This record gives sequence, C-alpha cells and structure tokens, in this order.
Amino acid sequence: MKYRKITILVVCFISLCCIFLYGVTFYKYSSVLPSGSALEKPNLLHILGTDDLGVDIFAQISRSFFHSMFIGLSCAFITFILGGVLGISAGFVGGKVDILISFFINIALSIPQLPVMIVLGAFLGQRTSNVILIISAFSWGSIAKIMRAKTISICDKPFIKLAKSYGGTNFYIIYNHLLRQLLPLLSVNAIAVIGSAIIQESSLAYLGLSDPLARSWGLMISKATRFNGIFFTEFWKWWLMSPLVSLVICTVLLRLLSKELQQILQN
Amino acid sequence: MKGFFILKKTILKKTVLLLVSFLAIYLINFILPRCMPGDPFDYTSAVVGEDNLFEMSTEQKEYMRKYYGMDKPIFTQFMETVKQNILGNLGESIHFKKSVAQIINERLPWTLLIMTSTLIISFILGVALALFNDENTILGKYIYNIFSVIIEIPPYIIGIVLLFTVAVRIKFIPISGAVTPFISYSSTIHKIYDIFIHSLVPVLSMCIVTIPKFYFTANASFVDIRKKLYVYNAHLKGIKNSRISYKYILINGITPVIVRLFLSVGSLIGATMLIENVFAYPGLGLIMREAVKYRDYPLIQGIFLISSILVLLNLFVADIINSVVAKEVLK
Amino acid sequence: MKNDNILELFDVSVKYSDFILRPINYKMLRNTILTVIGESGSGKTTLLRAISYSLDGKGEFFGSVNIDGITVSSLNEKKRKALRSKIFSVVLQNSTDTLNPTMTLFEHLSEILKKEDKNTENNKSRMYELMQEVGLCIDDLRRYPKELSGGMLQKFCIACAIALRPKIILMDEPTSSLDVESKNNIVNLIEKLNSKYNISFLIVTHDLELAKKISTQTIVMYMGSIVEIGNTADIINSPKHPYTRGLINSSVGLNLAKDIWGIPTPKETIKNIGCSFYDRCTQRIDMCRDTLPKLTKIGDNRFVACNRGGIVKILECKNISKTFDKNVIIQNVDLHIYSGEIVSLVGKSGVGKTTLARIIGGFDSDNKRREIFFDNEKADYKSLHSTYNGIQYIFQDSDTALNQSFCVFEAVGEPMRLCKNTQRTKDEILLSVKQALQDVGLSTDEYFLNKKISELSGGQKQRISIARALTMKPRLLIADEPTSQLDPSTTANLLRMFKSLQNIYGFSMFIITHNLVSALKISDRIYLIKNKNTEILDLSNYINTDIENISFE
Repeated sequence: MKYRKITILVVCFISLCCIFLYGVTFYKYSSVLPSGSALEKPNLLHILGTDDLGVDIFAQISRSFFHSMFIGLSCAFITFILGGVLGISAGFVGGKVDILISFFINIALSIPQLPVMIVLGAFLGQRTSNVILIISAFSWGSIAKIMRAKTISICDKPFIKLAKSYGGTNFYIIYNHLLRQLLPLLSVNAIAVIGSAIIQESSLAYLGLSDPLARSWGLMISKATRFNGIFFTEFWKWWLMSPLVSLVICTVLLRLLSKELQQILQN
Repeated sequence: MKGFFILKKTILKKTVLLLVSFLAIYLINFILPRCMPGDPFDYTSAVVGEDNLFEMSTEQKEYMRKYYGMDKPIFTQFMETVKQNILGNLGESIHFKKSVAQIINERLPWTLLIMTSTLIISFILGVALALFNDENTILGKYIYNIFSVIIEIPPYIIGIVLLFTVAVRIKFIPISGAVTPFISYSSTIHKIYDIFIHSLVPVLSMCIVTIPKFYFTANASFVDIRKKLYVYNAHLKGIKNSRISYKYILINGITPVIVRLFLSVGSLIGATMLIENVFAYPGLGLIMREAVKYRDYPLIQGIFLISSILVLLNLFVADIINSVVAKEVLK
Repeated sequence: MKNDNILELFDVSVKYSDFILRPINYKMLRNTILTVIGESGSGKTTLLRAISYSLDGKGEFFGSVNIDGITVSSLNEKKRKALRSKIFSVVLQNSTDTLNPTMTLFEHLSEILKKEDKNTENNKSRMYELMQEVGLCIDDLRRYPKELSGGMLQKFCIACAIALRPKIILMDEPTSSLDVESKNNIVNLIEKLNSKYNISFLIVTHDLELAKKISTQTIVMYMGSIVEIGNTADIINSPKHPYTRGLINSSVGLNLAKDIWGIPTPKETIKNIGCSFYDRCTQRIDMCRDTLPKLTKIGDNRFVACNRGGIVKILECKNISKTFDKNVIIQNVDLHIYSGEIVSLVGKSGVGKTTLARIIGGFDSDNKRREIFFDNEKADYKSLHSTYNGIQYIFQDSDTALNQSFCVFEAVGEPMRLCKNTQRTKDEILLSVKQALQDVGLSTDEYFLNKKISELSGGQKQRISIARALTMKPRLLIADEPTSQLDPSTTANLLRMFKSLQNIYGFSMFIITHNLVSALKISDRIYLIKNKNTEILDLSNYINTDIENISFE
C-alpha cells in the first residue's frame, strides 16, 4: 500500500521502455530513411504516420527516446559524480575547501541556465557530447548544495564525533557512516536530473542547438512547427503531437518517480 | 543591534557574491569566443530545422576578427572590451547591421512584458489558491494532484499545445507577433487591447506552469503557519476567519513566496525565450534564436549579458529579503 | 441566575486513533477554581480542548458541553465563535508562539474588543484598564510579542482572555516555564480575578503545588479517565487513588523533607480492558484486569474510580494494649497502614516500639483478643507468614535471624522451600533467590550462593535477611531498626534500597526506628510512640521552609 504509487509509476515507465524498444528493434521502418510517401496519416503500416520526408514517425520517436535517455542518464551520471564528490568534500572537509566549493556552487546556481546554454551551444557546436556537458554543467550545483548541507548535518551528529574519537579514519567515517545515508539521497537527486536533462535537451533542440543528425523529440517538434502552413493542415495531429506527448509522458513519469522516491526517503 | 550587524555582514557577503558571479559570467562571455579550437568564424553550420546553410562571408569574418581584437594581447583585448561595454557599447550586430544595445533596447520591453505579467498573475493566483484552498476537500486534492503533474511540463510545450489547439482555432486570437503589423491605432485603448490580445496566449502558457509553482511554495508555507499556536489561539479567541486568513496566515507566510518570486526569474527567463519562439513574439528569445542561426556572436553575447544581469539582480533581491527575515528572527 | 453550574459535561468523550478520553460527566459550580491534574498524556489537555471545542486533527467529539447554560457543543462553529472570549476564553500553554509575531499587543487586544464594540476610543480606555488590571504598562501595547518576557506574555494572554468579561476561563499549564516570582504573580492574578469579577477558572496543570495553592476542587486524570475528584485539600492530604498518591509523592514542592519518587513505569504494558492504571498499580487484583472501575462516591464531594474503592488499608489494628509484668507498655493503640506506603514508627528506646512491631508482625500477642485486620480480614498470622503475598518481618539482629551454618542459597531459599501452598521446583527457587539477591545488591554467582552465612560481614547478613523476606513477595514488610548499627553511608544506601524496592514492587512497609531524620526521607506517614500510645506526626508543624520566597535576583 505504501509503495502503491511508485509501483504504478515504475510499471508505466517500463511499459514505455518496452514500447519504444519495439520501435527500434522489430519495427520494420527506419528512423532515418523515407519509407512511405510524405505526411501519411497514421495507418496500419505507419502506426503514427510519416513526416514531410516520408520517414516513419514511430521509428523516429523510439530512437529519440533512447537518445534522450542516453543524454539523461549521462547527465545524471556526471552530476552524480561531480555533485556528490564536490558536495560531500565541501561538507566533510570544511574550511577553505568548503568556502571555495560553496562559492562555485553559488555561481553555478546563480547563472541563468538557458541563455548560457544557448551561448555555450552556439560556440561549442552541436555535438551530443557537448549537449551533455552543457546540461551537466548546470545540474551539478543544486545537487552539490543538497549533499553539502546533508553532509554537514550528519557530521554534526555525536556519533561521528564519537567515531572520530575512537580513532576512525576519514575513509572509515565516509565509507561507513556518511555514504550509507548520503548515497540514497544522491541517487534520488540524480534520477531527478534524468527528467530535467531530457527537458533541457528538447529545449536546446527546439532552438536548433542540438546535434542535427541525432533523432530527438525537441528536434522533431522544432521541425514540425516550422513546416510552412502546418497550422492550416491536419499534419500536426500526428507529426507534432506524437513527439510532444512522448516527451511529456516520459519527463512527467521520471519526475514523479524521483519525487515519490524522495518522499519515501524522507519518511 | 547585533542583528543589524549580522544583516550588514550578510548583505556585504551577498554583494560580493553578486559581483563575483557577474565577473564570472562576464569572463565566460569574454573568453568563450577566444578559446575556440581553431577559428570560430570558419565554423559553418545549419541551424537545425532550417533548410538553408549559413556561412559567414569573408567580410564578416574580417569584421569579427577586428571586433574581437584578436590580433592584440588578451589583456589588452579584455580592457578594451570592458571600456567599450561601460560606455554602453555592446558591439555591432553582424546580421542586423545595428548596434547590439539598440536591438536589446527594442526587444527587452516585450520580454519584460511577458515575464512581469506572468509573475504578477501567477503570484496572485497561486497565493490566493493556496490561501483559500483546503487540501482536505476533494477539490483540493484534485488541484494538488493536477498541479503536481503540470509543474513538470516545460512551458514551451504547453505553448505549442495552446498554439495549435486554442490560438489557431479562435479567430480573434493572433498566432504570432506582439502587435498587428502595419496597424494604425485609433486610440490608446485600442493599442493596449492589441498588445494584450497578442500576449494573451504566451502569458497563459507560462502561467499554467508558474501558478502551480507559486501555489506549492505558498501552500507549504501556509500549511506551516496554520499549524502555529497563534493561529489556533486566534480561533479560540473567536477571531473571524477572514481576519485570520489575512492578518495571521497571509502576512506571516508570504515571505517565502516573495523570495520564490525573485528566485524564479532565472528559470522564467529561459522559459520566456522559448515561448517567444513558439509564438514568434519579438522579444529577446526570438532575436537570440536569429542570432544563433546567423552566428551573430556580438548579439548573442549582448543578450546573454543583459539576461544574466537581470537574473543576478533578482537573486540578490531574494537573498536580501531572506537576510532581512533572518534578522527579524534574530531580534 | 440561570443555573448554579458554570460548566456541565455530559458524557464528554474524545476518540483519537491512539487515544481515548473516556466519557466524563461533571458539573462545575460558578465562581470556583477547578484544577485538572495528571501526568503528560493523561488526557487533561484533550479535556480542555473538548470543552472549548477545539480538537486538532482527527479527534472525534462525543457528548455535550454546557457553558453558562448554553450547549456550546451543539452550535455551529460560526455561532460558537461569537461566544468565544465572551462566555468562555482559553489561555493556552505559555509561549511566544501563541501570539502573532507580526502584530503588536495593541492589535491583538483591539481585534478581540472589536467583537463587541467597534468604537476605537471606548476600546482604548478598556485596553488601558485591562493592562493595569493584569499588571502591565500601557506602553507595552506598542510592543511585539517577541519583546515580552514569559511572565508578561502570560499576563497579556490573561488580559486578552478577560477582555470581554467571560464567565469562565480555561487555562492550560498557566505557570509552566515561569520563574517563581512570575508564578506567584499569575497565581495572585487568577485569585484576584476570581474574587473580583466572579470568573470561574478551569486550570489544567501537572503542578500539584499550584493546584494546592489555587483551587478548591481538583480532578485527577490518568490515561483518559478521571480517577479521582474531590476538594483539593482532601485530595492532597489523603489521596484515595494509588495514582493520586503517586503524583503527590512525585511532587518536589509537596515533599520538602522527603525524597521524591516517580510512579514506576511498567516494563511492559499489559493490554487490558479493565482499569487503565492496572499495570502500574500496587494493589491490583485479578478483577482490575477486566473490569473498568466506575467513578463512585466515597464521601462528601469525593469520588474515586477504583475497583477496590480507593487505596486499601492493608493493615488496621484497633485497641492494642500490652502489659508486661503488670507494667503497661502500650495502651489502646490504633494504627493503620495503607497499601503501598511506607510508615515509620519512631520513639525513644524502651517505649515499646519493638513490642508494638512484633504484635503487628504476629510474633507477639497483646492482652486481649487481637483486633488486627489484614486487607479487611482478621489477620491469620500463621498463614500470612508462610505464604506468598503475606507479611514478612525483618528482625533487628540479623546474626540471630539467620542460621550461621546455612549457605546463602539455603538461607534465602528457606521460606520458599517451606512454603505450603505453592510448591516450587529447585530451578524456580534458584531463580527467585538470584532475583532477591540482585534486588538487595548482592552477588548472584555460584561461589557466593554456596558461601556460609558465618563468613559474611554484618552488612551482608542484613541484606541476606532482607532478601529472604523479599522472596515471599510480601504485601507488608516490617523492619525493626534496620539501620541502628550502620554507619551513615550504609544507612543511606539501605534506606534508598528499601524505598526503591518498595517503589518497584509496591509493598507496604512498616519501619521501626529511633532515627527520625532518616525516617523522614522515605516515609509517607510517621507514627510517634509516647506515653504508651501513638500519634501521627504532622511535619508541617516543624518543617517550615519558605523556598517560594527566595528571590533569584
């Protein structure tokens, strides 16, 4: 009963993965090459129709899902390491290290994200690796801040002071006392990064700043909305709405999942 | 007196942070085009979604090199840039052939219009909903659940959906721009109406996401206040509910929401830039995309600088409000 | 006057998921001060909230409450709000948090006064009057709650409560967290308001001293039910419920000379449908486990909820006289011991202390037919001595009370081996012996168990004889001069041990001693034996401390 909500969310997400997995494996159409006439309505062959070049939309969406998940997971991994290491060391070591790291955290948090992303994207070029770097650069700050605060609050507790007085080394204390409480928190926060990274990637793609060769929902949305006269046709119903709905479902699921996990952690 | 000193110290600290953050942004802005591998101006690319390839002409490249002063030592370059910027010269846009400052001057008010109307509307509605909503009722639970889903959707997605479902279908709502092109207004009211109707859907799309944000912040704060003994005591004294809502809950619980108002400028500016692209609204976001498309580096940098200053100042205000509240507590 | 009662409760009960306030019926007279006492979690604050109809969260209310003849509990909240502050006010437990930090005192008072009169000028003069009434300065009105001290805050909350001249004020712990001086001020203020304006007060507190000082009536609550009601003086002087007595024994202010002992908390809570005090009670019987005691009248304005009709007299003797060789030693002595109390008998040597103790203990007989009752039955010493839960006697001289050639195990286990009614296996006896030895602070290892009594020191022997008595789980333990030959430190240890054993096991003790000062430390009552008779020693005639008036400044 307690975990009912989270079970539903996990099941939904796994089914989503399965559907898209089918899209990239057994589904017979390519996500790059045209496989039908342009702008076909959804039909039995092309279940979500085709775009202006005749490329199957379901195949594109499935590819985009894994592209997005790749970006999301990479960003989550980088922020997990960066935010974790910096946050914990700032909290644990304290002193000048703390001042220095806190300072960087504060700067990372106070720089407006999207404009900097645009600038970086424009100057660094549009490779997927750059997109991951840019998004990660703006995700680690808040995690490091949370980890630092939590580390400090744990280090203040008497059992840490006692462990030190018994002769526990720093490694011992971090490994046995700190990480056990910090890792779940860090992981949950990193999971939250997956969802927001996907949103940010789609925003960058929408502005035309992600890898033009990769398949991405933001890119599809951007292409569809820029198609001349799309307002006055029916095309948007499948061409635009499919990537849009996929994006929303995927990110909302991921964010709700991480929120739910956070709640469980707190109780 | 002690509280006052602590306050002064925090303000000083925050000011230093503000200045250093600004410096960091300024340096990023200065160094980025200069530390590109190879020559950034040889870089050609197509903005995705556009069919035309774009490449700088030789003239333009020459101009860029000159503008960035690449031939001089880096420190001289920096001092030169600072000097120019202080004088209000942010460079010359390559594509628009106008000064960057002038372009920003033209576009900034539209962005600010969208942002401030969103902030004001969401703030009022979010706080009001939280103040009068009882979470225990069925309606309250629905609001809570729906809001917690909506808050996760990026505003530009909602903008696109609204564009296709509402703006395109309803005749009197325009689908793009900030004013009707080539119109001569019959009266001020007409002008205001025109601006209003153009900004209606963009602001609405932003509000749909920002109202829940303020609602949650306000709700969390008010729930805390409602548990306070003085509210319980006021009920026991027989004070009217309306007075308790206003004098006790709102006054005591509003600070975190105000702080949130200023803090949210950072994410809001990004959302506004995207929304502007959805509705072809002629603010900073739209011009930014144009600038990216044509690799108009001086313009990109100028917009970035302005938006950063905007965000930093708001963060500063939020920090100051927090410190003042902390001082109240110390007293 | 509509009705003599300011407050009437009819079957008032409250249900929380983890707490129940059992149905309460009570009528409170006008112009009285009533205190509700009990430990934390006893339900006294819940009662106050139920009366003021301000239960938090998921509390369900049943029954009905009449205040000043108006059935407050059946009104809707809007109508009730109109009555709040006018008919009844509540003063919450003292804390800055009870006032809005962003409002001045002026605003706080004026929002209440506006309920009756919108005229600002009238209100202003009324405010000045109120501030003076409670002893605050008019200038304080400009201040914020944070700028007030605890005492001032409480005074101001009282000013708010009396602003619209209510008939009754409900107060929650009015003096907690206040220093002595402010405490006295508040007490005086309450008394003044009570006599000057005929305001009734219902005061919830755990401070018995406050109850004693201020109230005429007292309700004692435990675990959501009323266990005792009566005049405050009666309750404090002669508690009828074991819980009330426990509370009094825990109160520092009421026990100036005596050591204080809390009511022991049970090691495990026994789930039962009967008396809620069952697992901590010293005089429980099987019936208490499944019968909920009813509040029954046991005297003039005195009610107690106990299946045994209040604290039981474990021992009562009437008209005991003893003549020895035609010398009258004691004559017509009346004496009683309640269950779970320590009674001392003091007197000069040679006045017959030991004689009396031996008669009571069943080792001597008096002149006439003995009129000694144990637990309301004629005492049958033969069985009381040889069965569990009877009377055990510890002789003054432990050397002669123990067989020197026995080993420790044999000596301590002897009464159990000999016990007629209940046969025990050797293992059970060993376990009980070890427990008893542990209780008296002796070693329980094999080596000690097999040690000869003769090899032990005097102090150890005395403890052995105590342990031996304990194995029989006596309901009355009589000790004859247990400390006479001991040095001060050992005396202190022994007395504390007695008291702590008594506190844990709940037996009654009768201690014979010539050392009044040490008797004072542990005794609930003291009999003084002189002129061939006994009298109860009233300590308040001798001990007169004025701790309250010590100024901290």
